[in-house]
Amino acid sequence: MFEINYLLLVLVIIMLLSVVARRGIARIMTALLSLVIFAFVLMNNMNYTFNYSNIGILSLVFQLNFVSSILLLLLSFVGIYISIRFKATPGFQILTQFLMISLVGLFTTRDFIIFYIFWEMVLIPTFFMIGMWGGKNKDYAAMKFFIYTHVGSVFMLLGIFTMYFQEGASTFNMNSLISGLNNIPEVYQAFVLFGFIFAFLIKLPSVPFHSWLPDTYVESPSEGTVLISSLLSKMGAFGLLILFIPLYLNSTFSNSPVIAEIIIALGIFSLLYSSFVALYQNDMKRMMSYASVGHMAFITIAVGGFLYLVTTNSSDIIAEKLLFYGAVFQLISHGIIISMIFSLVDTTEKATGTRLISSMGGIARKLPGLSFLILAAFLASVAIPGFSGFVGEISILLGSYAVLKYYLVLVLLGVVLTASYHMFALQRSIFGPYNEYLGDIKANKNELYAAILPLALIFILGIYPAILFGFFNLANLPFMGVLP
Amino acid sequence: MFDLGVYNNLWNIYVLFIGAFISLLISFFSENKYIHIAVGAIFSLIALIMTLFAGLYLRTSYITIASDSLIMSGYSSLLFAAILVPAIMSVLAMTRTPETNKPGLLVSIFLISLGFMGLAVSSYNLLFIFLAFEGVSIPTYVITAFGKNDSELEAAVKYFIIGAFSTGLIIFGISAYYISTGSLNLGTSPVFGNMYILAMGLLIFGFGFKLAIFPLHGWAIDTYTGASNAISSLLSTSSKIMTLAVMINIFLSSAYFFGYLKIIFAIIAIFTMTFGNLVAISQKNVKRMLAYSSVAQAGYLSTVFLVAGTGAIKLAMISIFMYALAYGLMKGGSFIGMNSLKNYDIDEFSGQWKKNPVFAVSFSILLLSLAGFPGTLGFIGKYFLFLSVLSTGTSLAYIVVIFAVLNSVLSFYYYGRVIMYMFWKKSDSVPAKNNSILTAAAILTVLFGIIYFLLYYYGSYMMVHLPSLIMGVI
Repeated sequence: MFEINYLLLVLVIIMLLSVVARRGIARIMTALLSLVIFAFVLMNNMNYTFNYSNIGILSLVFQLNFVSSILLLLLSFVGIYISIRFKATPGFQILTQFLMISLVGLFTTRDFIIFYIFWEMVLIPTFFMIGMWGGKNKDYAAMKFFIYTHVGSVFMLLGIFTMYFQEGASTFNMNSLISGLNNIPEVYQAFVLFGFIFAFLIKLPSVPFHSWLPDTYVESPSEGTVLISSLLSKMGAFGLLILFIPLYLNSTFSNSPVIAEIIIALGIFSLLYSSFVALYQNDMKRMMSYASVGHMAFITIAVGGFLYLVTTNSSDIIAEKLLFYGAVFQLISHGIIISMIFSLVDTTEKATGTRLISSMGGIARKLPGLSFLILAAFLASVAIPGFSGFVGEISILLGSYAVLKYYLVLVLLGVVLTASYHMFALQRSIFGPYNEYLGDIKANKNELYAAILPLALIFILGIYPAILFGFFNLANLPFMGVLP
Repeated sequence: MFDLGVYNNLWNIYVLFIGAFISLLISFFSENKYIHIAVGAIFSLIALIMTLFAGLYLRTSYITIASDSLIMSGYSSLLFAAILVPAIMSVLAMTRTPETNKPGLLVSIFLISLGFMGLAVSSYNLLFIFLAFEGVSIPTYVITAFGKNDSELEAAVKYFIIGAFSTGLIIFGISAYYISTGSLNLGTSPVFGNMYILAMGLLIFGFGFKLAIFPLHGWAIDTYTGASNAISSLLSTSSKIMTLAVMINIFLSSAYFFGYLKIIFAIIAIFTMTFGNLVAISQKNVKRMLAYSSVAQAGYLSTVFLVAGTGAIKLAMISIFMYALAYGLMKGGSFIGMNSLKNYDIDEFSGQWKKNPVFAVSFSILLLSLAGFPGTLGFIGKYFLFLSVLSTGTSLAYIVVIFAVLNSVLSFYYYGRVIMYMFWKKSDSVPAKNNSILTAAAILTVLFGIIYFLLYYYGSYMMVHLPSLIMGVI
């Protein structure tokens, strides 16, 4: 049995080794760390609770449940991909390893304070990644990212405190705190729910709180953008799926679907707004960061729809499962697609010297390989059947029909808009007449070969998605993934 | 040894005074700076060790001296220990600043002020408190004026004038207290209610000057900025923790005043931290920024008065011990860290990551700790303090804590800017000198931030009983 305390110990030792070495070996260490995480998930059958004794008011319970195993698989993929694709400096690799260790803790812990601590630890490496290797406007972006996401998390901390005191609990164990939520006065319940959803919607991000995201994604170095876009946004999604849904269902608000409706409305608005804004972006990286907001809006819609179905006692089990598992599938598929897209944007920028769509044009005539990969990645992002993006989105669309009925048209409009801005961008940058000002351009061959790994995964998951869920033996798992 | 009866329990304070005289004696023969600093450090260390051991037998039953005027308890030992830790850092930092020809006098005065701090935190009689408090104030006026710059003199004069004014207010408050209760002991219930409220108001103002809370903070900025680094560190840590301890002793035993006390300190805390943080944002001089940030920290610390008269008081006192220790390490360490640089402009920090990585990392850790980031002792202190305030469950507590956490987010803006300059701004600044005190403070901050439960258990082990005089309801 590969216990999680050994896992964390091994990971920290690997990180310390790369700190000591400080040479190119750090890159191999990142891959090794990812492989260890991968082995950990497989060896524990993706389904296990580790229970250690308490330290004071902290309860050391870690759990490898359905959602966290999926996210750890994504984490190990991103780690391997980053070390294959990018030749980052040792310092960057060490920060990456630190980030990954924090995320392993975050995704597995079942204690609110440890969750909060790991949630905050993630900010430090990201702040330094943006700041030390970022673009022109990096100071502003780093500070904005840090403060924006920090504001959300302190409200989450206050929510945790409120639960702890109002319930008179002795530890910060998630299961006991969540199940006791309906015993406290309604005002405090509202405060707790507000604190959590505020933190998660900022991190996800959903539209009114998304303004840190484009700056952060654009100003980060490419490898940083891959990490932030594929992993950090999953923190908010993880929180919504594993913490917010149980909290809401255990509160006295679970009789009325009002909050669920608000969440769905936020999700739809987020999808439409981000698509409209993405339509007139000229910077490819900025456009793709709005696309990322659009993809995460599907998670918001799925969570809202799921809550709506449960609170109205619709007993439409199939729709509930479609929404929940669709959201989880969307997490891993978005993680892979967006890391492929941002690394291809990086390759394009290195080849043509620009990221602006208007200054490209007809790249396909000179760089067919790169253009093919970009086309494939964009089609995956649009969710064309056969790519993994399709599976997640179609599940969420089918499931949300049970909730939205004819309002589903709004979501479909978002899907069409998503397709259209991707196509416009393709038309102006890759196809059409060649822009002679670009001169003779060359793409790095190795970077193109590296992109085959995510592309293969996208195809495999898109054509045979059961390969992912088949591992888990879903019938034996408790629904919503949280073990008792 | 000599048998002094009940006064045997004060040996941890006597050694400080003995050290002061030894330092004076040595200065007849030698004015070598290092010898005097060694004397100061050794005697402070002895006092720290004796305080910790004294706490071990004081923890179950406290000892009263001179009919409740002095109460030596586990609680007072803990706070005195939290005062002595940054004091040792300050005396070690005196190797670099202030420049003086009379280090013997400097160390001797420093030790005298420390001795009175020990008396002040365990006094429960207003006359004793006043004497001990002035015993701290007057030596600190003198050591602020040490040094050869005009700025140090200016700092000392400002500090002295405001200090004299606050002394007047305190005396006035004490006499009003006597008129209303007929006693100078703390915890006496009043005969004339209105007079009692007047007395408490005056005492809040008088001591508030020393704590540098919002409307009364003006002197602190100039004094902390102008004084030499070791002295700024002493004034903003040990002296401030002592003032807070004295205020806790006075106000948490004034059961009649609790209704007003909570509202007044809620307002003061909110204004102090918001003001301190907002002004700190616009500072270009890092030392001045640290001065404003210590005003903001005083705001966080003064939220502790919201637990007056509730069951949360024990947790609050443990958290005050932890926060005081954290505050001493991070604030003292960062003021002393200024010793490594030629001037305190923020440009001087740029590129230090390439030039002196140890300095850059240590200073960043202290700044993150000041901003209350998890993994550091600063987070633990804030976390337990807010936990204890929230556990009272009143809506006032919630409002104050929401303001406090928003402020701690805001404070990252200016702490983070210094980190930004150190790690990725380029300029031709001079490399910072190595500073072992700064590094030690950073290591301790992270170490205790991770194994904080040792401190927590130690605190709760030492505070089996809180003195029943203070804390209206236990």
